[in-house]
Amino acid sequence: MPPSHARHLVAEVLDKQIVDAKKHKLGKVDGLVIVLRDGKPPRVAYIECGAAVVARRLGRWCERLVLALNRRLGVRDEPRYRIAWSKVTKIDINVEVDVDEYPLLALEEWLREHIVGRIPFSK
Amino acid sequence: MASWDASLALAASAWARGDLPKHVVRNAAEAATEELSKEATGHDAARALALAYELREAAEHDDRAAASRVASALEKQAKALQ
Amino acid sequence: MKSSFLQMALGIITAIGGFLEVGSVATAAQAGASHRYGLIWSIVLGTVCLIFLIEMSGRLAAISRHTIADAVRERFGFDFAIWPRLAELLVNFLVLGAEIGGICLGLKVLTGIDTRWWVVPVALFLWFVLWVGTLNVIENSTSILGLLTIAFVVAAVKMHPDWLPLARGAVAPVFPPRSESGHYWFTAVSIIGATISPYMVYFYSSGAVEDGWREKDLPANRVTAVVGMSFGALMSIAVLVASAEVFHSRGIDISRYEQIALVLTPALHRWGWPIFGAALAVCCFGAAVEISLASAYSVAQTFGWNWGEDEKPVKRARFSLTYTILIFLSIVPILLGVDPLKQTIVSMALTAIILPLAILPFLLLLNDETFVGTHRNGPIGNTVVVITIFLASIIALVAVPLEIIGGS
Repeated sequence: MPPSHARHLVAEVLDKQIVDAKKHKLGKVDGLVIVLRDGKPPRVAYIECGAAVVARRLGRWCERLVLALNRRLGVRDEPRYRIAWSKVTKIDINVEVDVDEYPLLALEEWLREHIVGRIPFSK
Repeated sequence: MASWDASLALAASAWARGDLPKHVVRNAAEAATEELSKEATGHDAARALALAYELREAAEHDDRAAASRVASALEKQAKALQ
Repeated sequence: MKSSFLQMALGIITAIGGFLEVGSVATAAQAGASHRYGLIWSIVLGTVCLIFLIEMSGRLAAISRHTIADAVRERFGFDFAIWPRLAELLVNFLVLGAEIGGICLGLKVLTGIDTRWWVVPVALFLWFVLWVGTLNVIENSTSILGLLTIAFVVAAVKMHPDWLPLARGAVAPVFPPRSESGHYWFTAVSIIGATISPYMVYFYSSGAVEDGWREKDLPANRVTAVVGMSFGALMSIAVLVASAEVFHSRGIDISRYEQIALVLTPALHRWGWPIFGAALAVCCFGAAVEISLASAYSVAQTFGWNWGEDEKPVKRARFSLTYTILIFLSIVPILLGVDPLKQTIVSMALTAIILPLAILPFLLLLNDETFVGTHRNGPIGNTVVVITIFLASIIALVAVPLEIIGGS
């Protein structure tokens, strides 16, 4: 597991592609959750990923919009996912994580089931 | 407007020679009619619109001789305006 | 892995077949008709700039293994990256609508059936081809069919143009009389916008990453960029010259497609109109494929989704839905009665205006050693690109309002 000193990591990790062990794309590092500790350098606790996270970067109004849309569509609980830093296995061109379930792909799954899968010739 | 006179003359003579199908010359005449009605007024425009109509009729009735006549008339008008 | 030679050959054929599309045909026809050879330099300038951009795009893909959209987000952050993406999507939406319009116009010339009957079937066909097809098959078919455009070169040569004025027009602007100045420069930037289509650069970058290019592919990349784009430019210039010969001499200014449809007839007689119709339809189809995919790639790469044309749509749900939505949205203006030729010209001019926003971030990446290592841009490439895109944008910002006020 790579070191978690926050300062360089924000630049090095933010907005990079997240992949799993099989190189499947899970999303981008949309945000980081940093923990501040007394007397010690800040540490990255989680990678954040999801529409709400990205929307927040554009402004609170955008985040509220995305959350409202999300509730309307009933896609999933909330479009914001955290991956613990301990799950990060490698940082090179991508950020590789060791994650079993893919909540990040909830939208993809939902679309596949409800829309794309229903269109002929999609399989 | 001389532009459309010349365009129609080109289409008309090409069709008279057998180089164009009916629908292409018809489309050109229709386009000319639309554009001329929009922008131009006066004798020259009226004459051009009349010739465009004549061309459409000639195309409908496969009258290539008429088309050639229209072409010459249009060419003369175009030259006069330039 | 394809052999290097085959890869280059395919790239070059794609460039020839893919260079001409509704924008380059419309702008070249207008330029030739209104200004004879006086605007060939803008095709040349646009092409030179495009050659640099395509080469850079391949280099970025090979060394950093990132596509442009992917790398721009990574380097500049989402908050910035969203702006070029939004501008690009807006312009692509208009250009795609124009291309679909172009396919319909080509079919109208071929069959006599009016464009409005073709719009929905064509959109459905385009969508279907992307939905079930694989990239190689689609690209290769449209490229081979696109070789039809060589007919323009044949026609242009057959009309015995004046080579000296032609050459003069190719190297420097031939300043028109004052009254025509506005239209001259407007057409010039529209040509540059039509030539330097950002979607081509982005599409190339995605293809290069998907094909797994590495450092050893850089020489082939360079050859493809230079030879491919040059041959493509030849097609554009041929349309301009043919238009100059057919229309300028007769005092015809192009304001409707029905006029452009006549361009091959004097030289190719009975073959003129069907070749024009078929060539237009095929070229615009190829362009429509590229724009749809390039837009979906951009969005997918910015958000980190799985992307890739070769997988079935169920495996790429968000990506597939993106191009689906874009295609069916893009036909709305045409269905509402917007004139395809006007939409074409406007979207080309708009492309010119957003060039700095679309290209500058990309250019910065090519000078950033964390992305391209030792393969950074040389001073010539940087200079040519920067000057061209800023010149085009500034001129467009002045010329477009003038053209609108003048009532095109």
